[in-house]
Amino acid sequence: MSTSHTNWLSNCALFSALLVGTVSHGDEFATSSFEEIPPPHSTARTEAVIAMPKLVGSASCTAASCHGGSDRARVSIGDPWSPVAYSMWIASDPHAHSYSTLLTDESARMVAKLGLGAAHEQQACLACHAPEGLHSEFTVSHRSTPFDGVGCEACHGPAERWLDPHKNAGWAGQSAAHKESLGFRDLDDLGIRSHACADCHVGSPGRDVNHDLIAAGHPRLMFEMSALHARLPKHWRDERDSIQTLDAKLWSVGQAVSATKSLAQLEARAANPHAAWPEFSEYDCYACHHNLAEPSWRQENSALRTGSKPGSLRWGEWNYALLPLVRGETDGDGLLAELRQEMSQTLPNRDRARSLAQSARWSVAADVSSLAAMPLDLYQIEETLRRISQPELVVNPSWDFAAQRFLGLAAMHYSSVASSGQWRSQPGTAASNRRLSLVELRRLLQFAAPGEQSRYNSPQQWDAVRRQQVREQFDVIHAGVDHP
Amino acid sequence: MSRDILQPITKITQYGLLLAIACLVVVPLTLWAQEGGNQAEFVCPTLHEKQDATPLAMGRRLVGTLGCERCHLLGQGELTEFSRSLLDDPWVLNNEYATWRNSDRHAQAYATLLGKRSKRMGSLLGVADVSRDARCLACHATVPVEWMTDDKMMANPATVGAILDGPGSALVTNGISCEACHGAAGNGTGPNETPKGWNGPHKPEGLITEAFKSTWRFNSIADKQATNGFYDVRSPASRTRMCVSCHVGDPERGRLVTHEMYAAGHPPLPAFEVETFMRDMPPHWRVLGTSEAPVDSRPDTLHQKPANVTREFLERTNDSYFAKLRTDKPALFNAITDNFHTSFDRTRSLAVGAIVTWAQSSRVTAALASEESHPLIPSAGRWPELAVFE
Repeated sequence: MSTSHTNWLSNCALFSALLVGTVSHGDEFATSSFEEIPPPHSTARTEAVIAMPKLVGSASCTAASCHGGSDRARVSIGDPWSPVAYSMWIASDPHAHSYSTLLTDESARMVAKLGLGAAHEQQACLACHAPEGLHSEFTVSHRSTPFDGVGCEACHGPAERWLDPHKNAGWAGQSAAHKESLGFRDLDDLGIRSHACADCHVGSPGRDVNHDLIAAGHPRLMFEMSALHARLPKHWRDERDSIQTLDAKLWSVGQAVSATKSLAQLEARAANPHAAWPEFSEYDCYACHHNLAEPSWRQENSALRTGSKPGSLRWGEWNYALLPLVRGETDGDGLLAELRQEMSQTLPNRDRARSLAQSARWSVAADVSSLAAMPLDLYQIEETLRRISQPELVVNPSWDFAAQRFLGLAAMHYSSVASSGQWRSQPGTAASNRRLSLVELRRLLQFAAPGEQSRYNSPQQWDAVRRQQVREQFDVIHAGVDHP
Repeated sequence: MSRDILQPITKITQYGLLLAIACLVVVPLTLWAQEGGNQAEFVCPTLHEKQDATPLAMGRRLVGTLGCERCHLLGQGELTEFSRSLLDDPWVLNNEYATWRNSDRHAQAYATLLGKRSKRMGSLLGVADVSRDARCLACHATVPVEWMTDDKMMANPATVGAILDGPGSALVTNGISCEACHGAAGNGTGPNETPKGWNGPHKPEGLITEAFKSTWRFNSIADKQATNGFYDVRSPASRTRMCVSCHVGDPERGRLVTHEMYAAGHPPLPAFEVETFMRDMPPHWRVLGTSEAPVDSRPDTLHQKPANVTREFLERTNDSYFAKLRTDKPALFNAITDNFHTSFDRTRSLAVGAIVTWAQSSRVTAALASEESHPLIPSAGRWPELAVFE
């Protein structure tokens, strides 16, 4: 990997860091499919994983000659980061600390509010914070390994059957399907990788950051694949996809995967008669969470939205905002229109919400693999930039919607400059202007002004003036798209 | 609710409170137990009997406020022998109308609908004119909501317009005026103008005589309400029931602040407690009894009935509560009468009021939770109505 690549990834991280800062608090990428419904994109392969090979624990990976080394490979065979993968993870990956997060005072306060026992003993918490420690019967040693947090096997798959084979010389040449039959997850496939992240960062059955948890203090989940991916200290080299278009692809695949996961979560919530309903975390946080001063920009906003009346629950759009654009839908919100309508009822019908979410999920799931397989070029990236920034996309966007547009533009921007080689572009060029607009957009979208001591976890100001400022930046980006 | 109860406790002498609660619980229990031997009657007899009687729903015409000025706004014209006699009568204050008109915010209830915030609310809610909408006027004007609806359908601007553009417009523009609380004063629309309203009987013909005192002043408030539609604002339960109809809500009368209205900018309805709210009103009435020191710093001796008037009332009134006390518990009655303390009445009102307020709040929740849709309840069938949550 070139140095410049590292630089632009850290730039990307800078762009995203403040915006998604609230997420970083409980930053743990994890997956294991113990309780999960099979991801629809690869049913057969996932069933193989569900056949439950056992966990060996991250400690099995730590040998200095395996993944616990102190320097990356000097030779160009294979992934040069492989010798230090574990070392990087334990040293700088937030996932290594996800279990100890449960031991903090903040976690203790949360479980106290929820009337639960110690957080590190709660299945609901461990499901994401220490998925490998959840079921000791699934470990080779019959001991759980909670201290690993979100360790190696949480993403790569339980290693009982692939631990030995993967040390063999022929491993690299094996097919992904064969590896998966041993329980090794093919994370080079960006669809599978996104699913692995979204399992926790969007949620899945058994991994549910619902309104109870958020009310008790858990940060709201705001997942956007390319932004979080950029923040992760990477212990691998991406090879299968062109590195130039990686961000763009992670973004589009991530949009579809987020929607899939989110819809699956909605199905599960609707189907469970013991779960709260309506489940408020399905809705736009800032529709309700604000001061009650009057007049306020929120009253004004609700009036501007079509079909929305004051005080109505507004179905959250974080995971769906740009889905129509990703899917190339021309009729706007076509796929989700009915579901949105149902969820906008004061008391949505559970059965109807579940079945609408299910059919929508099937449609989106089918897109994931095609999006992951689709090669991207500069033309498509510029075209996506143009479409995300088009003024008529939505007239009065919610904060969530505008933030998703920003993240999409940032991902496209990085892939665009990477593809066109404009990293060191001079002031005044289109890429440079776009970068300035993105910096300004990030400032406009921040919850609290830089340097402000108070921690506002909601947009303090999202009034007509602010929306106009945001719109102007989108317009600048739109006008600057160098359409071939 | 607990906050409602506790708030005024700080304002009322602690000992008086304890004494009064003791009286409140012991006396009525004894009285009702003796009367019917059925304690269930104590649960909410007044509520049960009167829950459907509200000032505006007793089958009589509204007369408006013009006639009230003659006696309740003295000093405007030349004093007659009659008005001079009123000045000497410690029963009335003679400035009730002026207090309401000049200082009572109820008089501004309709004007509020013409303000900036109301216009803004209207545009957010998609209501063309909030000052002509039944959902608003139900609480902001002295007109029964039935008058404003057409065939039981919601807000009909034309019907409201007919009132506003007709001779009855003052009933709307005066906001919450006399009859909103005291009851429609005119006669009914039955044969020979029956039932008779209270406008006539409550006025003495000529000077205030013993006969007038017997037939009207000390007649039981229950009888005045049943016969003449003079709403009982004296009994704590009845009085609170009247206030909470707007201040908590009364879906069956189209009085309801929905979550939608709050979201559009309606100020939150503050937790209602009848004694606190009455203290916040500029009083146009005199309370029974005296207190050695005015509660908080407000000099309210003017608004207390003088000792001799209090005693005369207690000894002659046919109000069931005091009448029963008088005949059944003479010793207790005399003990109370000899030194009637305002906190006695106020604490009774506080405790009864808390129960009535709670009951009304429950009725609102029950009506909103009902599956059936109701023309006067905009939220019916749309549960959960978020307005009833904290």
